[in-house]
Amino acid sequence: MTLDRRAFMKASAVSAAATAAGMNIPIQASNLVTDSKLTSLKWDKAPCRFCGTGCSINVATLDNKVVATHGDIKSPVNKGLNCVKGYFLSKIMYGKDRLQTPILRMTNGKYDKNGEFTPVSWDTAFDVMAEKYKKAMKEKGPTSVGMFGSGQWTVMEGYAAVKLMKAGFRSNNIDPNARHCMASAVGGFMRTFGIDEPMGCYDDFEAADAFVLWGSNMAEMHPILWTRITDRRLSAPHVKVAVLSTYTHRSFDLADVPMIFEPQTDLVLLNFIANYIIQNDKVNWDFVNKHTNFARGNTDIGYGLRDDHPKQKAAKNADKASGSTPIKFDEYAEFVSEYTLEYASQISGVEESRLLKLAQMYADPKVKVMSLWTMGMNQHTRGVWANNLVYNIHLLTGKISEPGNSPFSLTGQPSACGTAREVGTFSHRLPADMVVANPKHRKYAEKIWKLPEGTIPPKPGFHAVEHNRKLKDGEMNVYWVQCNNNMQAAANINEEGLPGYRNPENFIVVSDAYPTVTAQAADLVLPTAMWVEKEGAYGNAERRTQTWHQLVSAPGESKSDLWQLMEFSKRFKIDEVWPKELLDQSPEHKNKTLYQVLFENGQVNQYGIEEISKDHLNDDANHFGNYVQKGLFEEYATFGREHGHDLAPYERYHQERGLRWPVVDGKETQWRFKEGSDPYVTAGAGWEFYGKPDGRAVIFALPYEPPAEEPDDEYDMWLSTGRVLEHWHSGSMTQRVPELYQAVPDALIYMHPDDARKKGFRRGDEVKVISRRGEMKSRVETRGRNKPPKGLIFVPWFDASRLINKVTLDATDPISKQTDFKKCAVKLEKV
Amino acid sequence: MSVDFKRRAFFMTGQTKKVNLDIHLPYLKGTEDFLEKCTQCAKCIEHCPESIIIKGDGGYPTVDFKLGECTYCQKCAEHCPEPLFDLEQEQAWDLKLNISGQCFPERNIVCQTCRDECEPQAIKFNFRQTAIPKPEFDEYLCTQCGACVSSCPANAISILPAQAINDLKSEMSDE
Repeated sequence: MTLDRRAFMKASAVSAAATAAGMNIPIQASNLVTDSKLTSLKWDKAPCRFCGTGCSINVATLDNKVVATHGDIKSPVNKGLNCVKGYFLSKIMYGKDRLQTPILRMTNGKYDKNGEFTPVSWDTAFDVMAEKYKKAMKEKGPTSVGMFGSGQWTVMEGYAAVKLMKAGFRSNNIDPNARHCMASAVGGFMRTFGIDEPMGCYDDFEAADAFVLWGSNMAEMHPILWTRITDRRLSAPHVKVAVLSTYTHRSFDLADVPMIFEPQTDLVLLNFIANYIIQNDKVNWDFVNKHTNFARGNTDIGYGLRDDHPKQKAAKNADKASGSTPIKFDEYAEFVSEYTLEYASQISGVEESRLLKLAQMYADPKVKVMSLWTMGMNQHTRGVWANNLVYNIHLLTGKISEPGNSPFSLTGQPSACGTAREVGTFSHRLPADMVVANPKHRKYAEKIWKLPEGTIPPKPGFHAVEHNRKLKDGEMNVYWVQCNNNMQAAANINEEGLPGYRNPENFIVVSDAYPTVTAQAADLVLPTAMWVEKEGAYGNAERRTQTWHQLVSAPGESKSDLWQLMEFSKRFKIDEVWPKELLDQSPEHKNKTLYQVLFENGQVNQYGIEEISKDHLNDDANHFGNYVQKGLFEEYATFGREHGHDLAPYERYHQERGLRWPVVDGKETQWRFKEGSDPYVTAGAGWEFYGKPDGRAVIFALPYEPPAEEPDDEYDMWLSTGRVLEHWHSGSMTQRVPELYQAVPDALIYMHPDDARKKGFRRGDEVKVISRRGEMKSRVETRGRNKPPKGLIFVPWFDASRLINKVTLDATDPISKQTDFKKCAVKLEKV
Repeated sequence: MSVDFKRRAFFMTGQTKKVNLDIHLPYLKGTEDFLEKCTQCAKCIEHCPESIIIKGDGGYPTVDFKLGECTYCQKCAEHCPEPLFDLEQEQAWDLKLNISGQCFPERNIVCQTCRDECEPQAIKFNFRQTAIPKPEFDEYLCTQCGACVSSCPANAISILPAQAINDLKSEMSDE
């Protein structure tokens, strides 16, 4: 929409009149100012703060405030488009209850776990925190401290946190909320390819002939990517879209082949397709012979429950979940031969004709197929298997790493890839796909960090779900949560999360911009800068790294997560946290602070503040006296350069709308593992899966195994949870945007009208959702965007006043340790 | 881009003849009759289970769809001491829904919030035409309940008395 001066004046008059009349037209006000000549608006670029798509946004600031945003037409990702959340980005930082100072639970001027939140200075906050850290580490050692981070951390924040925890405090008990989101995808990549993240990219959308959604509601969760699929479907009539889910949702609007399957039976469907390909002689033998190996994965691997749980005790291979043995093709073919069309249809409830159509899409060598998935497949007690099984199909047919032939794992968070995965903020990982358990990897990291050998502990730390268990058990006592809302996200908070946070032995710190459910359960809350209130970098689902400048100041005494991590490290002398043998190896570190050792190492602090953009703020760099973001980014980038994870020089990202790694000789990579596109592939190889020592990807024989909990006579319904278009994750930002709140104010219980009738409910009735673990109340919805089949309900988790995670089960994939938020058994009762 | 009658009315009222934009109550015998006989006792406001009736211009009860939808429960009529209502009439009121150019999909922003609110599915989104589906409104299916109004994050949906829209249209053609 463009406006000439006359229209602008006219519209302004309307605005004024409307305001005077008490009428609400905020949209008009923020949308008018598209012409910078009319105002003194300053426009900059930034990636969107929400999902993993990584849309580029133009951000307008005026008087140190973000006043408008719109889709960046120069962005190759979103090409100027926006979703309704992205449109309201300008409002997420200005909620009325934005935290302005640190607040500590106190009674009579002293810290008291049962006291009232009281404003304190940063000095007091860090004093109390440092005392708790030192006491815990002295009494119980480094594993008594832990940190829960985020795929919404900037790259630099995640990197600083890994360094502080793994090298500074020498605790591997750091995990990101990406554990709830992408861990199974990572497990799938590492097992099949030996290297993380998708081989393809968003350009596949315009090249594919068929799209298959395996447990992803892209229409709501990745709306901009969905417009690209829709565009492709509308402009090329031969294109077909298959949508698989356990309930009908908005992505079914576009489905040529819609399929509702029984929860967990996706494992059967995937094996059926592999069997179909083999039975119908559609195996791409040239590809399979040159580029793949076959293996049989361990089975009966348990459900990631506590060790004393009967299901866990009964599992034969709970401690060897990720193990496998090599097999031959014939053994694999025999293994999948029992997954016949009849069996698949019978167990999944999907008509045979539709399953055939789906299998034919994959089998036909002329059809380029893009498979897409997110939480339906990752939040799954056999999530890694499900990921492996999709790759099986693409590998058997050689449909991989080419434009349009693309198994594509979508991400949920803006930097789940860029920060959580690439930086390696998981309890078992280091940057660039390295792991703490590998002595060579530890040595490599210690060398880059200029630290003595043996600094990084070899044992993987506690993963996200274990964090809550260990807090409850009193094994971990000091815990810092940054940039996420785990008390609203993690499953089974009644039995695990809340008792852990409120355990009198424990001290819980939460850094957030708003008083979230998690912040309210904490002992100390630190006010935190958001998004463009700091400089940062994110990495999206297609390996695209994007940076942004600080555009406005953070309110009150809010500080970035980066400032908090680095400033807090000044409170520790290295002698207080390292054992004698480590200190003896590096006498040069003696009497230094953790800050000096980790962040004043001549690398992180090597770029002066004169390098900062003159047109932008950078509060963090000015505070520390050097260009910290660049220093951290460049030190981090040395991990991946020449190791398949090459990043461009930091400065370049400020000029580009992102670049997809590996960036070699200044050029980004669209399709990895394919000669001609990926510079790492050996000439003449065609394809090379260089994450594996022999360059071959692995096709896995993995069976169907039942879910951790299924409906029975008492708890007679399946519960699946998820998101809605208008709100992002726990709603801590979007629920504070009045227009988005008004659009979808409450989480509803979506259910089949027949189930409602049978139970005597009417639409709008308040009912209780009850599981073996807890209950929540909300209202029945029998129409609208989600239409569950009989026997299943869907409840979104964005609503802080209706916590569905009191009900969900903390069963995980035993390989990835990711929670299954899509399947547990519940019953419903009228309130 | 369709006309936003509500905004248009702002320009026109005061300048030209008065156009009544207020939606009073469902099942009224007539607006003139209502304005003459309503005693402004506020019993309808008190008893509306959806709490969508407010004291409007001149103290008359007025329905505000920004507060929610009308379920046609007739509680307002039941509690009214005056003979203002005719519950036998086929249509509770004669209202017209208008989606203005402020609508997000019209501006290439993905949104379908109103779709869920519409019980008779009078607002459809057609995926087979544009990548960002736009709302298509079916006047014959619309029950004029107003459920879509408050949900719209772009504030693009208005419901006005049909008479008022006709008045505005004739004003505009005179312009």
